[in-house]
This record gives sequence, C-alpha cells and structure tokens, in this order.
Amino acid sequence: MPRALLSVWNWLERNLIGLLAIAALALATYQMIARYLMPSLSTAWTGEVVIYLIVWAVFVAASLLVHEDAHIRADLVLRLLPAKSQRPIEIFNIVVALVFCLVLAYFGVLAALDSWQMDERSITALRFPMWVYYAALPAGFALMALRYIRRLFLYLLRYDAQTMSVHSGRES
Amino acid sequence: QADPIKMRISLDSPAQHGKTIVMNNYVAALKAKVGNRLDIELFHSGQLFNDRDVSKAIRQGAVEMAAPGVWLLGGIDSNANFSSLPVFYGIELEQIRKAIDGEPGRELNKSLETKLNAKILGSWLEGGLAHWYSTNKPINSYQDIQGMTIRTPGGAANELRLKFFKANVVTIPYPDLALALSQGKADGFISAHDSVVAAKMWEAGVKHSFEDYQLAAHYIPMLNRAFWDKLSPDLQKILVDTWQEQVPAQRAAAAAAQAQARNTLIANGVKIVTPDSKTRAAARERMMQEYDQWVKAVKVDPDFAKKLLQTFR
Amino acid sequence: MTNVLLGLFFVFLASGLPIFLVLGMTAVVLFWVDGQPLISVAQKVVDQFNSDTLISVPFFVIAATFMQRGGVAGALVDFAGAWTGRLRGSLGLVCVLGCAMFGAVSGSSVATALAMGTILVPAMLSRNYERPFALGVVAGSGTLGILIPPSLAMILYAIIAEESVPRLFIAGLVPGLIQTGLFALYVMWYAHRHNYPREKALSRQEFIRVNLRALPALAVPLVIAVGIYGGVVTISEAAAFAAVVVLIVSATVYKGFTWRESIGVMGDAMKSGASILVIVATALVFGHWMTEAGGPARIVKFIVDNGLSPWQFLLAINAILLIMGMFLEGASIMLITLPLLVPVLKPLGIDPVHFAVIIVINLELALVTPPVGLNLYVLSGITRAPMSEAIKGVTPFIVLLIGLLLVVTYVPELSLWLPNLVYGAR
Ligand code: NA
Ligand code: NA
Repeated sequence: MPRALLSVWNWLERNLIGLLAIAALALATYQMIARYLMPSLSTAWTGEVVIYLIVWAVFVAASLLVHEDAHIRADLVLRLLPAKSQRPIEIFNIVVALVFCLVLAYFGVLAALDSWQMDERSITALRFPMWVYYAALPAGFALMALRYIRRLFLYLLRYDAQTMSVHSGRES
Repeated sequence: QADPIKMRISLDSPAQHGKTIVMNNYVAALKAKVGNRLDIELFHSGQLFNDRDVSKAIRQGAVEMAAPGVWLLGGIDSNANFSSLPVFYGIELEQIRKAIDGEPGRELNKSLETKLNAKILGSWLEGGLAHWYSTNKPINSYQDIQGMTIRTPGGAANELRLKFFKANVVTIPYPDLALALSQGKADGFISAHDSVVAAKMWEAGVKHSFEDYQLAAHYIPMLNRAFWDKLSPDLQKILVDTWQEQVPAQRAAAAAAQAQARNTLIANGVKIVTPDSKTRAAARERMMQEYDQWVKAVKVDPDFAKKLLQTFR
Repeated sequence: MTNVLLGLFFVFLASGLPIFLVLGMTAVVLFWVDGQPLISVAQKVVDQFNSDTLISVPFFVIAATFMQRGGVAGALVDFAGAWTGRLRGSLGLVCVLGCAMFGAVSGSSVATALAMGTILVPAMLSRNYERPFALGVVAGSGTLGILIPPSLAMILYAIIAEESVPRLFIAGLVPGLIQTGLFALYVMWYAHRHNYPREKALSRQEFIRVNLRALPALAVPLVIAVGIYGGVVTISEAAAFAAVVVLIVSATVYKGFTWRESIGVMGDAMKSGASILVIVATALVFGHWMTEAGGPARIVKFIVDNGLSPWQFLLAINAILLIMGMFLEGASIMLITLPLLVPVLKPLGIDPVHFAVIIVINLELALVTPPVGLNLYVLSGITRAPMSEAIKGVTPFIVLLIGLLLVVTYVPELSLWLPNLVYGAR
C-alpha cells in the first residue's frame, strides 16, 4: 500500500474521531445548559444522539487501535518467546482477528440492512433511523479487517524481527 | 421420539414482578401439557435481553418468546404509540379493553407479525395504570401540576401530556431518577403503583400520588415465526389455548397487584388523591380537542386514529 | 464439546490475541456451534453500546486526558505533593484518596481507573515508583468507583432485586471508606518498607506559588461535585460535565494545549475509551452465551438448593463469585446470579441491602482478577505495560479486598448501620 494513502487514511480516522467526540461533547453541553437555564429549549433527544456519535467514534477508533497495535492484549506468553517463534503465532492471531472482523462486518451489514428494511426508529420523539446507528458496527469492523489484511501482508512478506516483534521498543 | 424443541422465553421484569409470575404460570401449565416435546426455559430480569431490544431478537431468532411493552414497539410500528393518545386518558380498564382486544389491537398485531416475522400468541397482558407521583409538592388537583418540574423518560406523547397540564418537562434516564428526586432536580414523575413500590420510591422522597389513570401498560406476547412454523398443529393449539385460558386470571391478578401496591404506598406514607371520574372526563374532553395534533406528533396513522375513535363510540 | 470450545478461550488468550477478540471470537464459535443466528451476535454487540452507562467512560477519559495534557493534573499533583510530600509514598496515597474522591462523582470503576491512571501513573513513574506498584495502586483503588456512591453496579442491583437506589448507594459508603483506609495504610507501609524517598521540603515562596497555581485546578473537582450533588447535572451527565469544565480550565488558565489541538487530544482519549469499551461489549456477549448455556447458574442453583446455613451460604456464594469474577464482567455476573439468589435471601434472613454490598465488593474483585479483569486492561492499556506487571502490582490489593469482603460479609452492621440510620430500619 502506498505510504501516502495510509497516512491519508490515518489522518481521516484521527480527525473523524476527534470531530465526532467534539460534536457529542457540544451536544451534551448544550443539553445541560438548556435544561438548567431555559428548560423550554431543552430537548429530549440529545442524550441518544450523544450515544450514537460516541459509538461511531468508538468503532472508528477501534480501527486506529489495530493500526497502532494498541488493542489491549495479554502478551505474557508472547513476550517470553524469541522473535522467530513470535512470527507464526502473530500470523495465527491476525488470521483469527481477520475472521472475526469479517464475520462481524458481514452480519453487521445484515443487521443494519434488516433495520433499514423495516424502517426501525428510536422510540423517542426524534424517531432516529436506527440503521444509521447500527451501521457503525460493520463500518468499524470492515475498517479493522482492512487493517488486519495489511498487517497480514507485513507479517507474511515484509517481516522484520527488529521492529515487528511484539511490543518491541515499547518496553519502558 | 423427536428431540424436544428449544423454547427460550426472555423477560426483563424481575422475579417477583407480575409479568414474570404470569409467565411462570404459563410455563408450568405448558410443561404439564406438552411433556418433553418442548424444552422450555424462562429467563427473567433482563438476563437475555432488555425489552427494548427483544422484539428484534424475536425477529432474528435469538429467542423464541417474549412479551415486550407496547410502548417499546413504537419504533417498529408507530401505531404502537396509540395507547398514549388522549382517548385512553382517565378511563377504566373495561373501556380500554375495547381497543386492545378489538379491531385496533388486532390490526396492530397483524402489522407486528409481518414486521417482526413473529406470531402474536393471543391477548395482551395487562400491567399497571400510570399516575402522577411527587415528592414535596402535593398534587391534589390538576391545577397543582402547573409549574411543577416533571420527569419524563422521553417520547413525544409524554412530553405533550406534561405540556398539556403546563408542567415543566425534564428528561432524566430511569437509573438517575431516584437520586434526581431526592436532590429536587424533579418534583415528580409519571409511573405506576407497582413500579413505584418495586423501587421503594418513598425512600427517594415520594410522598404524594395523583391517581388519574393516564394510560395503561400492556405487553404483547410474541413468538419467533420459524419456531412457530416448526411446531405441529396440535402443539400450536396447546400454546394458544393455554395462553388464552390464563388471560382472565392474569388480568384479575394484575388488578389485584395494583391494589396491593396501592396499599403498600399508603402504608409507607404516600398520600393518594383520586380525582372522580367526572373530573377526569372533563380533563379528557379538553385533551381530546388536541387529538389530531397528538396523532401527528406520535406518528399514528390517521386512519388508525379514526378507527380508534370509533371503537370508543 | 462445550468444554473443548471453552478451551479455545485459553488458547486465544495465551497466543496474545487482543482481549476483545478473545471474548468475541469464543462467543462467535459458541453461538455458531449452538446453531444460533450469528446476526444476533452483531446485534447484541451494537445494542450493548446503546446505553447511558457505557457512554460515561469515554467522557471521563476525555476529562482526564484534558487534565493531563492541559496542566490541570500537574497543578493538582504539585499541590498534593506540597502538602503530603514529606510522607513516604505520598503520590500513592494521593492516588488512593483521589480514586475515592473520583468515585464520588463517577459510578464506574473502569472510568475511575482510566481517569486516575491517566493522570497519576505518569506522575508516579516520573518520581521513580516501580511500575507494577504504580499500576497496582490505581487498578486496586479504581475499584472504589462502584462501592462509593454513585454506583452503576448498585443501580443494576436495585433494578434486578427491586431495591431502593438511595438506600443501596448509602450502604456502600462505610465499606468504601474502610477500603480507602485499608489501601492507604497499605501504601504507607509499602512505601516505608521500600524506603521510598520523601520529597524535598519546599521553600516558603515555592509552597505559596504551588498553592496559588493550583487554585483554578482545585476548583475543577469542586465545580463537578457541586454540579452533581447540587442537582445541576445527572449522574449520566457528570462525565460530559467534567470534560467541559476541564476543557475550559485547561484551555483558558493553564494553556497546556490550544483549542485547535483539542481535536487531537479528544481523539487520543477516545482511543483509550474505545480500547476498553470494545472489551466490555464483547464480554457482555460472552456473558450472554454463558447465561443461556447455564453452567454457572447450575452451580449457583446447587448451592441455593443445598440447605446451607446463612454463613455457609454466604461463604459458598463468595467463593463462586470470586471464580466467576475471574472470567466474567460485572453486569454479566449480576445477570447470571442475582435472579437466582435474590429470592432466597429473605428465607435465609439476609438483608438484600447487605447482600448488595457483598455483591459489589465481589464485582470490585472481578475487575482486578486475571485473566478477565477490566481494571488490569485499563492500566495495561494506558501505560502499554505488560499485563503481568499490572497483575503483580494489584495482587496485594486483591488480598486486602478479600479481607474486606469477609469482614463486610460477616459484619452486616458495616453495610446496614448508615442506611438504617438515614432511612429507618426495616
Ligand atoms: Na462511585
Ligand atoms: Na476478573
């Protein structure tokens, strides 16, 4: 993958997460101020929209976490092994991760489509179309799957024990 | 002998809740009749699903049976919002049954069966009737509600009702309600006697109730369609008949539970004021002038709303 | 067969697969083998996220990240150091007390550990505290979030057991303070034994400067507490409120970052929050499978049906909960066990309010016991330290918590005295 494309992708994800979070925070702030100072302007639906924004941000962030290898893991065993034996184990991990992400992306699409077809709405006055919210899940897992495909490529064809053994260079 | 067919039932009411007790009775009666042809397991207390999410689980086949509250189905079919319309305000259960057991109820059942890929088992379960509850400011009349800050869980109809009585609307999620009341963030809220007793709301400061029969809670018993189709005709018949046999007893028990909850409230120092049926009827009449506006706000189909009016004629 | 499949869990765990994938993939395989529709796994994950309670975690992390980057945290740490620096291990002490105070505004232990860890672990490391100890103090003290009111765990208990929320909240207060005291004593003893250095006494001028600089920072927790207990914001809103207050103070007073940089800071905070939330959501799906499969429920039912005396019953339940707590997340534990346990409390003469405190302390333990311990993950996540260090550091606190659990279990007055005083005995 061209380096430029990757950095654009990362840049987009980083800013999207920040903007979604800021929008959520702004909306939550508006609701608190409105309810306290001018109850007539307070609206019942801000709470749910805050959730939708944050959850979209969470799923996009999950993709960046794959890129940075920052998803939390118990690497007790892995750390004890020399880089040479780490490689096949990490390839196994990537394959498992890829399978999971593809399964969730696929069934997530089905869940969102299901909701779209039945025109499911939230039960508040806003009647928010729920598929927009559900779509965060397949979007997040599809992004993660792409990240894992890249990682698989690196581990299969561009392996470098110096830089790619688990958490190398991150020890204290 | 074929393997028993798995039948998981999901409720989000706690063990002692009327709905859970009814469903336990149903399971016991079913087990006696079907032997080991069905492998029935009841999960309550939201162990498997919240009722908010359970209708989707029915559609997707993640559970075989559930009985979500009608008001939670408004996102699937907006006609399910009908029970919060002014026609239901302040009236007795017998009148409400005309709608839920009659044409409007049947029409909603049919639509839900299609949308949720479900089989509606039979008559709806009855729950509590909604009234006002308040902490320090007593509600002795409709006028007293004016200017009070009343909590709503959200929803267009709730908001309209509060505004109709000129209350200030404050949206607070249920888990925050008790603390919000004890801090004076809200003066009162709308709920039912049994729910207030379950949460022991007098410990959060509730001292008054204005019993005006705003609306009634109902639960729709539904089965996953694929599960239903798998059953032999005689099993299907047993499921439906056993349900219907229990309906009168269930409705009597629900009413008794409300009466008992009412006594518990009084025993814990909650003062209950009940406007007479004439006063309620007058309030209802004023509210009915806004009927079309409410219908539009809660997105009930205008034809459906008209049929509803005819039911009460 | 199921046991073989559950073995998958350990294979995934040992191979170093990210935790959310360990839980999620095990759940997917179990659902699939059971012939359950996999669409409901996806649906369940996304439905779990749709809750007011999960959302407080990222907001609290945003608040903590703003504090850390913006200079608010630095000013507070200097302030605490100026007053307690002459004690050995003063920052550890500050951490215990800070978690207790944070627990009074947050209903979640994970949020407490994330926020306090973000702020205090870097400070402790910069003063040469051993990393396992720094991780352990925060992971252990962070559990206070669900014992000291408000508490999301207590709210869920109240809903399942039909109890009153205010009474449960106040029941956690005395045990929470005891836990705080225990942990504080341990930290002082540890620092003394390991000869942690005292900090240099500050000159009078320096002391005044540090205090003055901390004034706006001190206003932050004050404003948040007043907001919550003065009835301005709800518990669910407290997190967003904290984030806004900190953002304003950071950007206007301490100027640790510019308004423009706040997008990046928010993004980093969201990543910390996300790394935990994906684990919580998949843990709940795993718990859903466990509920349905009924294994733990059968063991609980066996105990319930065994005609044990109350003290034997409580001991057995604590043992089961401790084991379940190793593998399951708090909400799942309550959903699996409470519907079976609550109905037998009255016949055994156990007060459900007392039992709530017992349950919550077990949930605190669940947060810090490996292999599935959310607070361990939090600390390992924000510091990128190996999990083994967090486990090593938290072990003494696990021992202390078990001690607290036994005392609270067999001295019901610790839980019941205050609520009965306030709301009357019943
Ligand atoms: Na707390
Ligand atoms: Na654990």
